Amino acid sequence: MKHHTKKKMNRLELLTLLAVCLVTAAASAAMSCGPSKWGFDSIDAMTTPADGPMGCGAKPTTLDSLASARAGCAFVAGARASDTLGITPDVTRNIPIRHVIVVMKENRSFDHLFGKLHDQGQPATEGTPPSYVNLDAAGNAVAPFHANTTCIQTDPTHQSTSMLEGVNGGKMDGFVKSAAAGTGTDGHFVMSQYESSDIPLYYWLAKTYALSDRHFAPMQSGTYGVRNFMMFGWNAGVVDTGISYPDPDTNSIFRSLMNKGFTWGAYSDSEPFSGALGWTNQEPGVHTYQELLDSLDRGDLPNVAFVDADENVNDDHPTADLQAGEVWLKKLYDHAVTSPQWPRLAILWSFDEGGGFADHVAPPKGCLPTGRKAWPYPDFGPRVPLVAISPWAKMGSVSHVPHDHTAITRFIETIFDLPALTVRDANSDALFDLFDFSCGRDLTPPSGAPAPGTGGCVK
Amino acid sequence: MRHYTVALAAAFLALSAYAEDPVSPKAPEFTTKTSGISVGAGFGTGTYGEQIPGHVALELDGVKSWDGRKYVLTWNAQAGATGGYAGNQHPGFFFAGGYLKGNGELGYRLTPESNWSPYMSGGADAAFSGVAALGTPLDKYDTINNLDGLAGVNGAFSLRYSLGASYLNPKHALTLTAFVQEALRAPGSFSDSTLYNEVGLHGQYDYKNSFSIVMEALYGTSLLDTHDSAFGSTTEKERFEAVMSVRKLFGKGWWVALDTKVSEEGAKTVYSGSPVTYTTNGPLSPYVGLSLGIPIELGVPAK
Repeated sequence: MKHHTKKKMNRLELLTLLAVCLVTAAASAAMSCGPSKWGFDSIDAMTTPADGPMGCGAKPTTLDSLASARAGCAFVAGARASDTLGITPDVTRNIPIRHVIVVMKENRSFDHLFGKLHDQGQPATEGTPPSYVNLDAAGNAVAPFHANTTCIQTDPTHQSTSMLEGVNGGKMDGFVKSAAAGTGTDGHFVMSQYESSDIPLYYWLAKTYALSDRHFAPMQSGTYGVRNFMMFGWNAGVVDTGISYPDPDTNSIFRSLMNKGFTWGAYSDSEPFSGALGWTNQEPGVHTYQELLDSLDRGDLPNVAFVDADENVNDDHPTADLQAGEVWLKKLYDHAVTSPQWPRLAILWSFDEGGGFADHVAPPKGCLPTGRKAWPYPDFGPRVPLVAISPWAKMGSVSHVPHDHTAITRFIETIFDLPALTVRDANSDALFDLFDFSCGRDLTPPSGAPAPGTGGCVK
Repeated sequence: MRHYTVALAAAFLALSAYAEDPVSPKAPEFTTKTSGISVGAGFGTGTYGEQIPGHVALELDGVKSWDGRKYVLTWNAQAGATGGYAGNQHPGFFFAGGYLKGNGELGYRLTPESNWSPYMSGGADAAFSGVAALGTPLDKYDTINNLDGLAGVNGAFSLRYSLGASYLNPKHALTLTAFVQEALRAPGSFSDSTLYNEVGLHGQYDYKNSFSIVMEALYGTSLLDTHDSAFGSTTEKERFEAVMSVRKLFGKGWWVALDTKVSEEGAKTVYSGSPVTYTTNGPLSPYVGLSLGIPIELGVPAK
């Protein structure tokens, strides 16, 4: 009898185990580990508020007596531009910009794209010093050289470990060795640079509109973390690309806009924000690139549009062809300058991070964004280009004021009187060094935009 | 937490007095125990993406009754090392670290002379882990990828009060309970630690030195809403979790265990003056793991 009971129990155990396995397999299949829900469902039903009469004459930079306080990271989350930049609501009302397009491309350092701009159209830009070299693993000095293709087929390593190696405590001499270790090449290609003949549209935009040659990635790492700074004012707990996503309950520029009745849209035919949020094209607020162009044509842009190109096709991330990236941007530019909203528009065109390509300027320190232990290194990452394209841009100017992507965030917060998300954006300037809101300006777009370059992609 | 504690302690004492039966003969007891080294691996997903963790741990597990089946103690304790691979994209990162966790529950059977008895219990659960992405400087390990309970320093502590039924004889032990618990859960994704009120159902069946299965589901909401004065926001959090563990014991104390879990966290945030309510959910996070138990002398079950 005892033996019989034991035998029955064995059957019970086997059946239970089988049931557990089946339930587990079914549950795993059914759950499919769906994406986070961000709670932005109402954005698609929101209406962009009317722009109101166009102001002008705002001179926010002349009121900026708080620069030293910002440099000391004195301001905290929730601070308004009136607190941190001396920009009162009266001044804000005279800022004509009511629509912002943030175009964030991928993975090119300032020297890599515009190291030759000083000699090729914009002498106010700091060129790459002739003495700047990186040593390779064999000890050979590698100087910047003209890239032989616009579609580099090797992606330099550029997550936190590699970026820290490249920056090397501010010596800016570790890019070649880091790329060599990460790619199995000699790493020399990260010293390559482009010229105006390779990327004529990019050079023309940089020298025609307002360029910053002191715009830095907000941290020394890859896409996910650095892009999060723009959206959340910090890395939102994300250091390296491909590891994790932010908590969807994190305060963000999206929420700040919606809370005040302003609208936003994310436009991409690929992954919005290059995948940093794990969003698909089905996420509320996400639209196609063509919808952005149509919206420009109709004049019904949201207040803020975040635009991303196609991954590794025209987003400028290696192995993409930079000249394909120019075609993509030219289309946006052409629709923007003919849009009825051009007089109220600012396009902020930048690159998320340097991608492992060398840059000679040591990144300064920024403010630690939060009181929490998010990312222990306050230093900015390597320089990336930032161009303000707007009828209100200081045409043909170059700003040397250091800032990072949270200056883009602060620009939006200032225009729409929104609270700072973290200490980082609270103490950032708002890019007004790139704008001139004087009354009476000719708002006609500059003529002479060249066609995108061709024939540069040599594989 | 105090109101649960006082109410349940009073109920416990009252029912203890009611159930006292000094003339009843002592019923035979139930005991099942394992102890040894647990070696295993699993697969799960979460905020951090896919996770393939492994572990090596000292583990003690068991159920024991005494005083004529009046009292039942259930325990599990683990101390070990973990390591594995995680990421939303590949290559992701390798991680390694250590953990301590344990839970214990003391139950009281109101009619110990019967196989079936009303049952009440109190228990505690604690977990602590310190995990770092490989290559992280030692002084920075709590600052990088401290996410979703995977990496960094994480912990949880809960106190539980249960009511239900118990079936107990020398070979079988079954408890079916409903519980309330209050749990302090360490930050995931850099949010503050949150104290949750949780309710759930729990079932555990043990066949002496041969087999056990534990199933549990709970739902909880934050005890106190989080207010952020900088933004004028108020956040209420919620979480759901279901676990099932099956363990087959073999002769000489070896065992094989299958652990499954699914959890999800969410939040509802409103901002002063904003017409929008943000209802968010993290990803549904399933996990399945398989482990082998190697007995050590302490754990050789009494046959």
